[in-house]
Amino acid sequence: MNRNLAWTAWALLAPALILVLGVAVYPVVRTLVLSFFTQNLSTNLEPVFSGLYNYQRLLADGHFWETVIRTLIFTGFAVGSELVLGLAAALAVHHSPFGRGLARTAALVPWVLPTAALGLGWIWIFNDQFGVVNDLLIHAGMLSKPIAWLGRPDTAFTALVLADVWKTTPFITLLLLAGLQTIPVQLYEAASIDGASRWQRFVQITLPMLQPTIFVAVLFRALQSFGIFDLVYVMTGGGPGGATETVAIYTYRNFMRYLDFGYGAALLVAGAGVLSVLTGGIWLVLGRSNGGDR
Amino acid sequence: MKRIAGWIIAIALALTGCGDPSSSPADETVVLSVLMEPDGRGAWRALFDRFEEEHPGVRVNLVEGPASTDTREDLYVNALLSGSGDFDLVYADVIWVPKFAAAGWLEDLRDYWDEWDSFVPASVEGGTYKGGIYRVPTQLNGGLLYYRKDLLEEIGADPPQTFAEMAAISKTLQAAGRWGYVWQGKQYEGLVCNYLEILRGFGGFWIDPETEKIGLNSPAAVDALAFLCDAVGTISPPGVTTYAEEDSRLLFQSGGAVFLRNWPYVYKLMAVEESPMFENVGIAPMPANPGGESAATLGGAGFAIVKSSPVKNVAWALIEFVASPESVRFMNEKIGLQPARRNFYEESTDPMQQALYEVLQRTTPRPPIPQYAQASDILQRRLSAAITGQMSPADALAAATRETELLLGRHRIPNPHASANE
Repeated sequence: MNRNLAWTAWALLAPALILVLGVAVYPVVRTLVLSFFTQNLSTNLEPVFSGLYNYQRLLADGHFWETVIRTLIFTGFAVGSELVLGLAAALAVHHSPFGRGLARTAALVPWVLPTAALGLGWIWIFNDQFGVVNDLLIHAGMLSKPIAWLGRPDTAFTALVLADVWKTTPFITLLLLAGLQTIPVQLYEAASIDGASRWQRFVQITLPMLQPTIFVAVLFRALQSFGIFDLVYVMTGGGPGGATETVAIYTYRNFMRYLDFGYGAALLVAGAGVLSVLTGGIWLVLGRSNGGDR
Repeated sequence: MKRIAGWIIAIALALTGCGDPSSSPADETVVLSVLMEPDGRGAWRALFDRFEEEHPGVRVNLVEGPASTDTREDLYVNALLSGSGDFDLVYADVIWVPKFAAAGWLEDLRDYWDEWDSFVPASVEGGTYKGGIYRVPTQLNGGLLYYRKDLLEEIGADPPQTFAEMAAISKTLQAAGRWGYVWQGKQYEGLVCNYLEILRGFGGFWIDPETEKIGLNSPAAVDALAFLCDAVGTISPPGVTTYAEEDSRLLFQSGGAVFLRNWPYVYKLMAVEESPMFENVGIAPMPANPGGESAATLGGAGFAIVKSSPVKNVAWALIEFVASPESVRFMNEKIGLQPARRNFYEESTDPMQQALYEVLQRTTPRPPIPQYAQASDILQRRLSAAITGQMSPADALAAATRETELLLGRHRIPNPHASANE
């Protein structure tokens, strides 16, 4: 009987297990293994075991580390801005007496549009001759003549952050809005009776109660943002002068354009390592302390 | 890796609804599969239908891939690497050939026929790797200079012969809302194509395919890059460093520039769109300085045979068909592909074709090295840094030289497995 039950359990679990093994575990293990091999055009694309060679190469590959730093900075700016804006938007929608459904739907629009298509749109928005950004800033008197936004390292980077923030803030807004709706109204009522100001209620009730949601939202977005590819690929191609090249772009180039699979795998593993550290950091700041309050 | 790649391609094909692994020998019909650009106007399909009529028992499975050349390359790499047998032919951009040939994926077609002389030499040369010819060119592309006939006539100027002339005319004709010279300066393959034309015009070279000598450190290379750097903000809009083909075309077509460097498609598009600008536009080869030569970077596509295909002879029959004089004329009429066959131009009385031939004869291939993608990325990055003012031309090219030397040197390290393909 027990045995039968166990078999049934395994049989029922099998489809899910096979799926997880096939799409999650296998590629990870395979990539890890591949990173110890050299497999590129100089080996006729045959895998040749080369131990830690790829990792030695990686440690000396200044270009890779530049992309890591750059991508981390990008992630910081993008997710930071998204969190602030997303929280503001969520609070606004939450306290708005009407149109919550409409606002929720409208907010999702940028998020559901295909990123590559948006990227093409942003190229025109930032164009030096026809772009609306230059036009607005010149009319507002903030610029004297149009600039090529995507043609300078600092402004190109800013433009990418802006495009990413515009697209993904709705995601954070929605998550935080859901979080806000789970905070019991009684807490606010009690605080009001005790004479707490709006600001005090926000800092002492809303933020702590929202912390688990903020943690999840930031984690999701940081993971996504660190892997940013499409927006950069379309808008700048990593330029100008490699100033916006991200980890994902560099890894893609090694894999698909250079056919350097072993090294590409090592880059992936290293990228995942950096990401784990980043995730650990986020957990330390946002994720750890909420357990005790409950 | 192989299996993952197989899955990716399988899923990609399933999603586009084109998966057809049924070319098994048990079938009566032979199915030839090839991945191509979207066949918007059905011209390729019509051509393949004719082939099928002439060859009963053969079916051509035209898989319409993404419009982006890079993405199609990724799909081919996945399929060929996994050995999935998804494709019998490769519709190959000129810069894929050395890499694919070095990977051992393509059949050497040199001895399949003796018609190689009937094509514009560079188009055949662009399909060669280490003595083999791996691709039959069906479309020829080259960079050329578009100019505003009306504006040049106003000041009694001829199309510029030298870069200094081009700069001078630009400065004379520039006005509010009109720049002199637009080109493609975004960090991507197009930037390399642009630079190579200027580079040859100044008498320099990038990589010598024979000796793998790198020419980027020469005064000519530095002068060529300095020309582009100086152009930005003076005769070219500051944003030219962010432009790809379409950005520059639209600026030119809306009257925003006197000169445009672009590919032949612009001319055809303007004719098709009945752009009011069409009447005022002339085409000329790129300028060149004394000691240099007017050059057009070779682009374009052609057909190659997958080495592991079980139906290579049928695939070759298809190639012979699509590269025949009748077929290339048909494709030129239908969707304006510029043929690589010389007699097409020699027999044509169309002045536009004559003008294009003038340019397309000057086409020069990019270096046929297997590490082309890396070499190009290095150059793209450094050129982009120079034209956006982050580095001086000399520093940028010195860095590119160093990095390219490292790249080519690394490949030359003796490897016990490297001889397996020879």
